[in-house]
Amino acid sequence: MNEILVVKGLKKYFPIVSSTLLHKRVNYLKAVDNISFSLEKGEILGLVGESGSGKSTTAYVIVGIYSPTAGEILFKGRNIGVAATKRPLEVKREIAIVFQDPGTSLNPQHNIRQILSTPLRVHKIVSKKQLNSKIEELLELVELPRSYVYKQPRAIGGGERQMVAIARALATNPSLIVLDEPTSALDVSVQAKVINKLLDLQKEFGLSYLFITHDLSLMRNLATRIAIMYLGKLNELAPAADFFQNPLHPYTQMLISSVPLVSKAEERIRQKKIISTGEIPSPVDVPPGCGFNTRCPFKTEICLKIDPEIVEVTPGHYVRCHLYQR
Amino acid sequence: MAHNKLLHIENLSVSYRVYQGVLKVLQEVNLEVNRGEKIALVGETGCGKTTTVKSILKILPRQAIVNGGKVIFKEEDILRSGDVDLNYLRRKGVAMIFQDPTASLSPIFTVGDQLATVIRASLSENANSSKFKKIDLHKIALKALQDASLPDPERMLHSYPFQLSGGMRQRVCIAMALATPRELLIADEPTTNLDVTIQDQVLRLIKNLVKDKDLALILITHSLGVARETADRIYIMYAGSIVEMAKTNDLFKNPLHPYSLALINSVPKLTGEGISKGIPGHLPDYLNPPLGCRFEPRCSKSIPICKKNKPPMKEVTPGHFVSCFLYNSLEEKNE
Amino acid sequence: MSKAKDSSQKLDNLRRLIYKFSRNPLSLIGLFVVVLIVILAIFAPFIAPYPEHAGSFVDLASANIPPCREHWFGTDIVGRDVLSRTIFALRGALIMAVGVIGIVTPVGVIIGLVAGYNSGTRIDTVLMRISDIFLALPSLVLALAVAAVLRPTLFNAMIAVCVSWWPWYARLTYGLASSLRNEAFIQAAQVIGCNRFHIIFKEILPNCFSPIFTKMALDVGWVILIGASLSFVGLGEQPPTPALGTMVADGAKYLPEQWWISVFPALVIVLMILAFNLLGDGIRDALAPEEG
Repeated sequence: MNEILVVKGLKKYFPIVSSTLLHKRVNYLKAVDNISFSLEKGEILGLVGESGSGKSTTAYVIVGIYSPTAGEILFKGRNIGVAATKRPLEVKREIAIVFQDPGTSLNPQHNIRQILSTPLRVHKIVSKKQLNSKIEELLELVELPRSYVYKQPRAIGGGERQMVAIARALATNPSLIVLDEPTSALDVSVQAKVINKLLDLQKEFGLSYLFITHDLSLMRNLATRIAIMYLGKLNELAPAADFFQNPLHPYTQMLISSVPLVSKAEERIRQKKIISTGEIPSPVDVPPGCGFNTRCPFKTEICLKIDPEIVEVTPGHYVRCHLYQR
Repeated sequence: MAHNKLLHIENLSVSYRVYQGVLKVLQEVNLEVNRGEKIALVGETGCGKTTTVKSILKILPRQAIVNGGKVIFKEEDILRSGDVDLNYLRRKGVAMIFQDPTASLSPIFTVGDQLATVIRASLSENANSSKFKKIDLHKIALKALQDASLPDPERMLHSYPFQLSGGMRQRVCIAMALATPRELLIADEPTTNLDVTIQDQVLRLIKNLVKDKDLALILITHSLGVARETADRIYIMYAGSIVEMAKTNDLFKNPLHPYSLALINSVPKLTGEGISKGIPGHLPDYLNPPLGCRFEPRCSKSIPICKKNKPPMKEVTPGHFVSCFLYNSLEEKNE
Repeated sequence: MSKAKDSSQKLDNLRRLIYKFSRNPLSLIGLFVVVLIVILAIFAPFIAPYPEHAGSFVDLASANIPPCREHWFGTDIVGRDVLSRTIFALRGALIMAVGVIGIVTPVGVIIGLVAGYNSGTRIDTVLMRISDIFLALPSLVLALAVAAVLRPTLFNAMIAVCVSWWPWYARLTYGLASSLRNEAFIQAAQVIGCNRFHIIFKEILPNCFSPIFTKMALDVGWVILIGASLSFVGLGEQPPTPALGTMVADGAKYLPEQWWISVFPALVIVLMILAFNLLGDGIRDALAPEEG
């Protein structure tokens, strides 16, 4: 099919060793606990969740910062489920990442020329003679002036730094870009510029985006499909329009209810309002049954004992909740 | 002595000394809060909102210079106050909570210890100062934690901040701020670092506490949505000046200043209208700011006078003020 | 065109460093004295009033003259001008400092970088425990032992100090590297596909320069002190080559009557260390990250 990325049964557990002289105990922080989804070529999949949901860990496992504990990651049909250091160079050329904080994702001691030439050199994208013109080309792509080549990240603003990070991601002509909350640290007017640029680039180069965020309003306007994560598991996955017209999972409804809105028109759109209560449990200490049962207003006995399976309620709309189990 | 106007910032101008020169940030900022009122100060990074609010408690960094203006709290000018009045202000008048609860709490003391410190300092103006009965402190601390909706307050008193989640830490900060009676609460981006569902809970808590304790609230945020759901009146700030002020409903129904309009448009909406183009350009350089309106270089509706003069604040409809030449005819300017 | 922008950017960065450095007048004093010392050391044969006194020279008629116009620091028991010998002794001190720090820094930094990059693995444990072992050796005692085994020369004294000094740089760099290891820009480099060599030397190392340079400047004073201590007990440079510590030791027998033979070299030691410390403080202020 047209799937560029398929994730099957992905798990990432971090061991936490607590030991005394006599007894050693290993607990597992289940950051990602058995999730499966796919990303079509040219689509934007929004992976939404709050802190502790495992969305960033998922992103990091996909790009190879962590190696998976279990499960498969298929990129263009090929299993790449190992750490980045063990992946073939061609695969690394095709997958890029943009981090949340451009202040720490760009080496503060490098200037922009060095930052952009690193991927170009590693993958030998252009010859040494063409390096300068390629760097200028990349800066033009993100609408940054050529004079920025010798500036250091701290000399330019947050939005512009993020543009540099995006230019760096594009340097190797990737097919998949993972974006980990790329605009969360930016002001809303700067965010608009960056998102627009990302959309233009997507159209121009046929890119696929895995977009990690907690901002549902942004996803409403950006994503093709949206997936919600909670405590390492996938709770709901649906095309964007369906997702907001008919949010099924109580957590989804709680999230949508909590978003601070700027207009009455938006308030009318959200039908089921669930007042947010409680906090997410620690991923080290996941409650038995459905992870959301500590906060769910609709919980029943079965929710405390059995973890629900994912079901397809309407075509393309998946949910993992006992309310919808047949 | 019922003062209705609790805080009045009048023509406040503040600059910062840096290596390259002087950053002329705040320019004649005017802001008022009445008793029991909730106002929001909305602006993006670098617009000067934190500077404004730090002047209220006089906790500006040493590089800051106050070029002019007054900060009047209940008829006392804070900027010219001595230490005694300032201490009164900080202990009983105003409470403040900050953006990062982890940085606001000391990691080496328990919640109970930190609460006790704050309560003791706040009450020490009373006669029998040094002899606080331990039971009283304990009772006040417990009540503060309960008011902040913290679960199991007894155990919380013995916990350390690192054992708590972000949302709980912020609640502890709120408990500390409101443990003893205050008149004004300043919240500087209190929920920016929190998850959306927790943000909702903390904002509701703040609103309820402000109502129950009859406080005034100044909420600083860059999120229009948060301001809309919390405040009665909103001030929009850009590059060191207030550009618009109105009651919440009026502002969103009829935003007047081009910046306010562009800002509201930049927020992605659940109604799915797509992503706006944002605002072209960037914040002015505070070292050499434009002589006229500071938003002019980015404004699609600018007229020649905007480059030369700063627009004065004008009341366009009752309670709705804007600082923009689009609403200021030339004759009035010549007064 | 763009190369010019690069140099103008670098010039601007340099100007900023100079500004931050010169905010403290003490740093400027330190810098001035250090430059003076270096010039004196390099041009000793031309500056010292009696350059031949720095070798084997005896003039008993001029022995034990107190400080006067012809001999600012007086003369010692065999008639040699103390000032000239002091100026020549600066050479040994600086050579020792440059030599030790020049060897210790690359060795320690590389070990620290490798251990820090592999933080948490066996390589880290092995390298850092080895460095701990060397750290436990006190420099002076080790130097004495080395001199007892080998011949006492400046070179051997340097070797001895190097052996016990490198772990400090390894530790400093290890701390920096292991915390930088988890920064986003290092993860970005891994995702891009950079190899270990690039990550360690091109990504991590540039972020370690500031603390390392500061430590180097402050260490000069310590190394000079150790060098003087070694020559005080007769290790290090052998007579007739003048060494500050030796001069202090020789003159100690004649205190307090012929005080100038010991006191001036001792004062110069103090002055050198103070100057390098002030310089080091200035460098630390200049390289410190800016606030807000």
